[in-house]
Amino acid sequence: MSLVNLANVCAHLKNCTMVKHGVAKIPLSRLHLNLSFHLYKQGFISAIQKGSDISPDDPNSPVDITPDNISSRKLWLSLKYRDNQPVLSHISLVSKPNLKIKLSPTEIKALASGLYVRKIKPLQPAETILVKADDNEILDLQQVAAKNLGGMPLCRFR
Amino acid sequence: MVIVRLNKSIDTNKKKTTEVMGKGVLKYGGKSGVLPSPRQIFKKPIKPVVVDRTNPQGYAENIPHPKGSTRNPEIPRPFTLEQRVAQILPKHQLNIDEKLAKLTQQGHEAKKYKVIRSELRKQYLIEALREEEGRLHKEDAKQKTKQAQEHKKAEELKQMDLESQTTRLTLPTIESYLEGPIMRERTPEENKSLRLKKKSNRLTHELQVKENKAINLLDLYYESENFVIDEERLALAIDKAFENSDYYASVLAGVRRKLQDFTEYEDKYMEKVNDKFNYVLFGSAFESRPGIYEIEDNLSGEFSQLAEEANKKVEQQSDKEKEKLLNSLDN
Repeated sequence: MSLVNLANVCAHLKNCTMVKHGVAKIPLSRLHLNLSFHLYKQGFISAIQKGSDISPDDPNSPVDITPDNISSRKLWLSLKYRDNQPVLSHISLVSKPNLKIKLSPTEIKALASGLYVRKIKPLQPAETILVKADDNEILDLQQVAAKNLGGMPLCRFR
Repeated sequence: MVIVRLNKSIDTNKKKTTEVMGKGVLKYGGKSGVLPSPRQIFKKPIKPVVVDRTNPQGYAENIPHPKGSTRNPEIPRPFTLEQRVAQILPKHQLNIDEKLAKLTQQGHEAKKYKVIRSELRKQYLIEALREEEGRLHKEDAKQKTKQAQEHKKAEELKQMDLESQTTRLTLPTIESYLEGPIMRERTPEENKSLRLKKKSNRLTHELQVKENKAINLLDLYYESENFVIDEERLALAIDKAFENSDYYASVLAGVRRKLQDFTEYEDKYMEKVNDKFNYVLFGSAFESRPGIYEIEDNLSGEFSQLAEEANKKVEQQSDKEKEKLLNSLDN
């Protein structure tokens, strides 16, 4: 898991939404797939497709991911717009590569219930904070709070 | 839907049919009038009700039903349009002409208009009912067509779904994808072929490096002929340098001339290129010295073998020619 790469992806998605791109491609990794899946589940993007550097793959002819082509494998995300405004209006890191924040279960619950925790702004309406939980799963803040786990907040989007 | 303005005789709900005019018009946005909301004019079904046997209604087995009710809902009996018409126009009643004649006889001229108006209303009602019946028939037909189309579409979709079901069932979900490894590792065969490829690349590179080294060494060897390596050569070099004081000036003039004369320079350049080509192709012609490939052939004995073969051929040919010459002389 690389926060640097995650930061790049966040910046790229924000840039793409600001210039109203229909699709955005991000490098394929477990972390990025998790992020994309959460974005999809929350309704911020309309589709996730595997693909190469050039275009998304044809669904009828799936391509294996091997050590030879992993560097050129991408995730193609279909971005959403409403009234000419991006649905994904904001996405940014919470923990930074040089300032990683580790929260206890109590702090996670406090953050989820609308309190400031160590200068982290509380969860806003229609906002999601992704957290790398203590069991190494990547979940959203509410799920981590429900599981009574601690973790590292990764990024937030709304 | 046909909007029927009911008259007093059949109007049971006066409030609903009130037409808004004059007073309180502004209450309805200043409109000149608002039509009553359309409502069902057949209180009872006009044709037998079809009961859906697949979806039973009523109370469940162990549930008691209230007094005065039935366990299963009562199916309303149909009241056909003809029955309704018969109710409106009873057979025992006189027809309009007879009624009017009777009233004329009795001298009730004013009542005649009431009778005429009542008759008209009845006719209009019957007309409206028939129109409504026609509309219901049309609706039924439309419904049936729609159902048939939907059924057909569902069947088609089912068929399509059957075809794609295998694909759909075998496609991984994102959750399952996240559970397993994202990347497929190389198979042993792939690993083996990759190792071989790497090895061959390394060997080719090493060979290339060695060859380049040998060529450079040979060049250095040829160049070393002009090197000053002992006192005699040093003395010669010094003499050569100082025997003509204009030596450097002449060199400089030569360079200038070369630069000016482009064609000459080009020729020289082409010569050099040709030399390089020859060197690459035949491994020789570096200032008419043997190249690395020639030396290799000599060392491996291939060159001498070729020379022997060539000599043999020449000897054989010369023998044949000798024989031919002798034969011709004999003849």
